[in-house]
Amino acid sequence: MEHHPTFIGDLFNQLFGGLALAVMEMLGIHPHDPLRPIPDHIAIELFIVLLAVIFFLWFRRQLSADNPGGLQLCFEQVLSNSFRVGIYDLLDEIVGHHGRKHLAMVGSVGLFVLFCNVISLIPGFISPTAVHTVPLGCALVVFLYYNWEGLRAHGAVGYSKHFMGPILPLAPLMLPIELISNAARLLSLTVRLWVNMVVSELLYVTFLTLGLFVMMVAGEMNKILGGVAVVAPLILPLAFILLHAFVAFLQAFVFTLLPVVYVGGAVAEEH
Amino acid sequence: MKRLATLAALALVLFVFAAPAAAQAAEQKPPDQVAMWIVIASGFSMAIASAFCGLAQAKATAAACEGLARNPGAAPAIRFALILALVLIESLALYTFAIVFLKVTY
Repeated sequence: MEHHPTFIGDLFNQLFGGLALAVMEMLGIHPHDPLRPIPDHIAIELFIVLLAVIFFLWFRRQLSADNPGGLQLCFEQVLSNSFRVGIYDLLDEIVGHHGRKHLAMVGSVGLFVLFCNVISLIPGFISPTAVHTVPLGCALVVFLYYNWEGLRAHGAVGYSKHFMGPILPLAPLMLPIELISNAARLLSLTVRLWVNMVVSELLYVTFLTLGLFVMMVAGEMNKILGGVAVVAPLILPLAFILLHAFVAFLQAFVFTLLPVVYVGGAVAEEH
Repeated sequence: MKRLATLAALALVLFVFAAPAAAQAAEQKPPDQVAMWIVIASGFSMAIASAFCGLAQAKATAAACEGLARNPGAAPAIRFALILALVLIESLALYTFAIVFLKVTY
């Protein structure tokens, strides 16, 4: 897969390339290309975080309980909506009593993944989640968080009892299964997000290339046919860019839902 | 404000630090004969994974449609369970694709 430099990557390398290179030399790290020490996906991640922080800091001042504006109502739908897939709805339903205190972690990771996925729809940007390290980072954060919450809720002994299953004699069987299944959660979160982003974009690019090839071949054969065949690269990839957009939103939703489920399982109280 | 600036500088340094994590050591290319079999095997494995994934998703969708038909009032819950099940089953086929993506270097 060739790698085309992005506008934001170039911008960040112009602004911070010298500083980044100095820090890396100090730590003994040698970048692939000294002229572009900051990789594109990191530049785009930083750009997303910067934009989001600036936007939400501004937006916070516009919030009002008595007279909500349109934008506030839109964002309130993210928290709680009539399909019951808002973050508060998920937390209340799946985690239960004190679910809402997990909003900070679940919401941040979910929104970050959403913005990273969706930015690939804009030409000139790549999705950071299409680079295998970014979903791994998000999944690690979630993994460490839900285990930490489980330890905090039950203590070390109580939390290990979770892994031993419902009845004590089954413990030697349940313990390895539960441990492996927990480790597999980390792997599955990473691979699911990463491969979904890579594959949906790959499908789109493949059909776009196919459309362009049809157009070029038609143009070689006959000028009028080539003029008509201009619709091929416009119509053919339509379904696939829609699929990519759908997959981007859906994977962000799943990356919000699954941490809620894992936290719910970790802090669950046996009644 | 000063704390925000130090925090931002620290974040920038950490991000830069993470950059070489993507640098992989040069892997030995397998000999051509083996590479050919890797390609053939990946084709078959991807087909098998997609086939079983399609079968499982069809079963899930059929059950969801039947549930929706019997009990339209439970539509949000059934729809939610359907979407979740489809995504989890899809990811199983995608694990196979991940191996194909990483290992096929023909």
